[in-house]
Amino acid sequence: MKRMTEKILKPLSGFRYRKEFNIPFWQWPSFLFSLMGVINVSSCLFFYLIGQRYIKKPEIVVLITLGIAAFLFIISYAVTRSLNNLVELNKAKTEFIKIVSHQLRAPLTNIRWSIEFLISRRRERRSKDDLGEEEYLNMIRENSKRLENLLSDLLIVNRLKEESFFKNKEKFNFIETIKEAIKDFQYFAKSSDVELITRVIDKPVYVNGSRLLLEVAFENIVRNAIGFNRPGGKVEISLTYHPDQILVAVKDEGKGIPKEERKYIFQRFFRGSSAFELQPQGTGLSLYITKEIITKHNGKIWFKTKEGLGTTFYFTLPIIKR
Amino acid sequence: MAKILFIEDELALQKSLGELLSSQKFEVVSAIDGETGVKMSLEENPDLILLDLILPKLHGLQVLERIKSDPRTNKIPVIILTNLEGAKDVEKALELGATTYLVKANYDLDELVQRINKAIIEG
Repeated sequence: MKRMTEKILKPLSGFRYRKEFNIPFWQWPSFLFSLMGVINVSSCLFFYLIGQRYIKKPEIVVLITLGIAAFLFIISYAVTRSLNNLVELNKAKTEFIKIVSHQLRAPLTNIRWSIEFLISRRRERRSKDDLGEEEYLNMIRENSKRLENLLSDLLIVNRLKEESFFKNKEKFNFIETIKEAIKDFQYFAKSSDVELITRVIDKPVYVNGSRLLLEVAFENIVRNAIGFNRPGGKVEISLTYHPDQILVAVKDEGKGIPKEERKYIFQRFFRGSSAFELQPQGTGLSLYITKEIITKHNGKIWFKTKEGLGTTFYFTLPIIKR
Repeated sequence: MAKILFIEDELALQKSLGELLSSQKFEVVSAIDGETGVKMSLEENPDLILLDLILPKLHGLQVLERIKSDPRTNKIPVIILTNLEGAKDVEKALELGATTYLVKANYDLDELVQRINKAIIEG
């Protein structure tokens, strides 16, 4: 009996939906079930009052009312049960993507590192025949890296839907984090023949958020600015302080974004025409991820672009006044 | 010559990174599971430990906890080298005393060697 009651009541408990699945209140099966209950009672009362006026025998009124109540009850229970199943299925899907992505990444890293090791050994004792083989080894390395990037991005996209992903918020000095990230980009910029110019304010600015995620967002923008730049071009990163927010601007000297592509820039899996030429390893997910992260931190993101001259991406984040 | 203890259950990674580090004049000793890793951290007295998290017998975070709570090994810098990148894992590892946390998929072997060199110099 106890197990039976638990089985019936489990799908109706509300807070687990908020906690586990991040579903808004009005979509909680328990809320919908209660709403159906109110509709049930009101319709029973309505039929009772109508019946009292037009039907002479009270037993018939009672029977009709009971019948309608039972019918509505069964429907409402079926609706909430199926909602519950959908929620569970969605959770299983999210878990599946998470597990598969993790499991696929490990062997891929093994492959890539093994190839990198072979390449580095070949460089030491290079001969004419090795050069042709190295080209193929490089191709395998680039493609395994591309798969790893895709899996990493899929993992983040999958997690962006989980509220708990944004729960690890802390108060941290945003300027310090950005400076560290810029330092890591120096090598990439240099090897891409791009000059990195930074105008970052010196005083600490505190932000309440996930340090890791905001780093990902910033790095995605800078990586694109370097990757889509012209050879010998510049990337200017500036951080300016405003009374309630910090404004980050990343300007490149690339080709700019064609007019017809601008509205799709933040869409999942969208890759612009120059992406296939300049960033063949891209996944089409980085700007989508970046926008999600910034907006979930109550910030805004936008861009200005001129074809042939370049693009500037901007984002703002609310700051904590000390 | 600096000695590195590499605690990693993936033999392919152990071999590729291990051999590259050896060619860079490091002495590399390897452990294939968590328990052996803890034991070798005491016996080998390494200058640096590279530690994976998903390990047989003892999870990497437990290995880290044991290394950092033992006065004989708690001064050894530990670099976490894993493919797990959940914020909770990162936080927990740094809280337990890891020097840095690196996600394998985000690094090339050359970059890794640079990071390892830096950690050894900074001690």
